[in-house]
Amino acid sequence: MRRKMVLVSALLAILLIAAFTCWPRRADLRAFDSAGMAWLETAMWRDYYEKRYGALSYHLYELSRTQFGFSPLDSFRVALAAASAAKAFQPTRSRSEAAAALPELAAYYALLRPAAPVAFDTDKLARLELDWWQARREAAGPHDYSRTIAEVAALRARTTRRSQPPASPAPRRWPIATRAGKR
Amino acid sequence: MAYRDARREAMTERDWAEIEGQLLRAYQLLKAGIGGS
Repeated sequence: MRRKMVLVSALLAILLIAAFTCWPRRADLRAFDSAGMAWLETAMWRDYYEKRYGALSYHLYELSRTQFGFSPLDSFRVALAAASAAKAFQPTRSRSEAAAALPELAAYYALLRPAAPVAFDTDKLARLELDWWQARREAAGPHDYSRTIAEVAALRARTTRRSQPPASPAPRRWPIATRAGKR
Repeated sequence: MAYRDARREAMTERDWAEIEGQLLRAYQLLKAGIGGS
């Protein structure tokens, strides 16, 4: 009888954990905290340049979970797709090679789409994202690639689209995958 | 990340803090632009 109780309790605990992990949440790409995003993005840039993909994946997970409100399972999937895209991009040396990152980027945006205020074209966003990653590698100035970044932000969040790049010395970009790849 | 590109391997903790500050200002602007608080 006691053994049966233990088994039932264990099963119940497993079910609760599974429900907590997998149950879809109402995620929102606009729900972020600015300070939290800035800290996480900085951490991810460091991870990327120091090739710490495990840490990069963890920070991507944390961002998806705490800033956008995805479920643990979806946050894991988002982190995996974005980190995979960054890892695929980093060793490439040409635009044609860099295209290897496109499938993971498209998967990343497909995972984000339910949390966006309006539907967007995942393939188009993946191409734009990769375009500015590559532009930075080709030594284009922020004045040039910030236009693409602004376009990505506009498509994702329906922010006001600028015809001119922002005046800040640093390019403004929307998170993530972004927080993933460059040089 | 133009800031980081200009420094490359010479990045210091202070440089990363500067980047975090720039990102914070950017996200605050973005938040304001999309109607967040």
